Amino acid sequence: MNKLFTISLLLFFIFSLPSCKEKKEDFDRKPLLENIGNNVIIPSYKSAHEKALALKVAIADFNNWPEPQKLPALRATFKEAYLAWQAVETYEFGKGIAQAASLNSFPTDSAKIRNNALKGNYNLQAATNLSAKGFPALDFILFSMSDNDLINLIIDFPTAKQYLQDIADDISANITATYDNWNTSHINTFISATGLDIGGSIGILCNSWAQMTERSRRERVGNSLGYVGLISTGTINSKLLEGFYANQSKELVIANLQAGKNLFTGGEGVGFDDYPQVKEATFQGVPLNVEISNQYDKCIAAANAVSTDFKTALLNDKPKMETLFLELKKLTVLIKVDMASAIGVTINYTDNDGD
Amino acid sequence: MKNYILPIALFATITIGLNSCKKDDDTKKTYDVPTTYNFDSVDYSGQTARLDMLGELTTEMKKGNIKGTSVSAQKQKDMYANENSPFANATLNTTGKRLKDKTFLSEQTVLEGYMDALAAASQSAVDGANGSAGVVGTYLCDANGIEHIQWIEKGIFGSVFFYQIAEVYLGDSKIGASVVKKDRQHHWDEAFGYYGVPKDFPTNKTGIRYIGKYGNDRDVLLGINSTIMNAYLKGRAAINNDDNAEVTKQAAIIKETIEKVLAATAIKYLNDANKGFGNDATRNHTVSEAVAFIRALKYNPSKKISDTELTTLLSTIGSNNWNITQQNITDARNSLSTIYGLDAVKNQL
Repeated sequence: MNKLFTISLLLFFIFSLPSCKEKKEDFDRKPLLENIGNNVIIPSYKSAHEKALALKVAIADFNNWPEPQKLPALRATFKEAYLAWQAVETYEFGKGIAQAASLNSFPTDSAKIRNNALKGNYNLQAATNLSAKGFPALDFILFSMSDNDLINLIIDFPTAKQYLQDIADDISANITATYDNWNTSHINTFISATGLDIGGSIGILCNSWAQMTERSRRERVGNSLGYVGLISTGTINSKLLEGFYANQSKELVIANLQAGKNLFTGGEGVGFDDYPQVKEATFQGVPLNVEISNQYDKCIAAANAVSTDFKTALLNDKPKMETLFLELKKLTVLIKVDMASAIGVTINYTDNDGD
Repeated sequence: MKNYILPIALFATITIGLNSCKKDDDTKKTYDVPTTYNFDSVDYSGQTARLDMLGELTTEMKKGNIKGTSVSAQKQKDMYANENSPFANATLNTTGKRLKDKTFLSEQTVLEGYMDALAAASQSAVDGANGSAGVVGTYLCDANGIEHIQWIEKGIFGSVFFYQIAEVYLGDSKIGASVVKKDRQHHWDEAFGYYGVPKDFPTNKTGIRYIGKYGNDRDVLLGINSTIMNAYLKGRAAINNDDNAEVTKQAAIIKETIEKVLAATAIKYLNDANKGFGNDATRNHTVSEAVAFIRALKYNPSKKISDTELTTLLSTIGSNNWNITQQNITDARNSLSTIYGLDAVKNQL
């Protein structure tokens, strides 16, 4: 009896000790990166690329023959492209560095847009024009005027017609270049950099992800509610909303969050919710993978709970907007702090040399 | 024919073999190299004073980063030339040391011009924008988004500290074999003084600044600290032991490695500028930093980058941080990393 016990105890130790250790250290990150790269990121870019191309074509068509009956379809094409963009904005690395600033700086600068449209002579790639290009500039041009005013602008001002086309071309060229780069080479770079050290794909992705989640909290909701960081000033300003002129703010943030959840779960394949350390870690007693997934759902539900568009809600239903802000705040902490530390990557996107 | 070749070849081999043996015997002197910079009669108080002076000058200039706070050009120039007792640390006022007279000559008026520009920008009542001087975020910029604080601080970093190390103190006229040993030692110590690290660096990193600090920031990727520190230690020990070839060799390592720190730091700032392209404050600041670090490369007389490459690089970046494009930044970054053999780490820096 004693012998048997000793032997079984010994066997238990022999088998259990190494396997315990292996479980934690030997998670193969390659399948995760393969799935995220091939089945989440590239399809998102593909869609964004196709929709941006359709937008570019629709604008060329409208510019050639500016007719009022074309406007509803053109505006719908714009909205679709903007929604598709939400699924790629998170990937601010490789060729995508600063793509959010390049294509989605809001609020847009309407005075600068007017100036560029009427005078021409602009360089859309110059930093100074970030606030007069991309989706927000098209949002302003396509949705801030009556049909007649827009058509007259295009007919009367060749510079405005050119500017409208240049903005659409720039959006399309930018997204296509990044999409092509992913397809041709970056996917391999992404999959092969499996390390957690500096230069590893997981660390780069998590930094970008955390930064863009924080952006949603701050710029998609917080700024219009009057938040400076996490401090409320109480001064609402709906003009700071994304998609202000088309009144698309709610749909855009929901699309963004759905894409974020898809990144977390990896769609049908291996996702961050399968990452052993994310499953083992807990947030107030709940496994972290469950908590993060739930928090995405709570954010989407909070956005859906705003019964009107955000512009109206800021005036009439502010508490619902505040709730959305709080849920996004929780989500940001979960991604930026809890998930990053569970995986063991350093979040350093705010770092600088300190001078 | 065949008969001749073999003996000749054999002879040649033996001769070369013998020569290299002899060379080894000549250069391999045996002496101890200490692990810290504790040698006899080390004094670089003049260099330390100048590092302190730049510290105070920078603090003074940075007052301009708060909108509505004007910075006097005269005060900056006084600090630069140590005139009219400008320093809060009163001992600096009486050292007789100045940053100005150690600055690469043609750069002195350039730096004073930047001080005038900084003072003028600090008078601005509006926020900085393309075409208007003023504070952008937390950085005082001129109408082109240039942050002169960086051009002055890092300009002195380059045209005094690096220039004095690379061109002056580690040059033949200061540490060459013909120089009196006592002077050679002192000159080497002065070159060490501009490094900005404690004597037991990198074990101790307390108070590291300027070249020491930026080298340390790049250390993880490039292994800078021990390379520079060991070269300073070996070179000083070599002087003590009249090992002339070793002195020259270590001096070259110091110059080359500091130059690499400057190039890698410029790449790091260009990466930051690219990532933060949409943030006017970040972009203006980091591009200004990058330009200042790139300009400092020229003070190594045996620099890796050519004058033409340097000019092209600076014109790629241009002179207006509002009109700069991501392509400009990426192009400059890539050409710098290629020139310095840093392509493998250019994305990580």
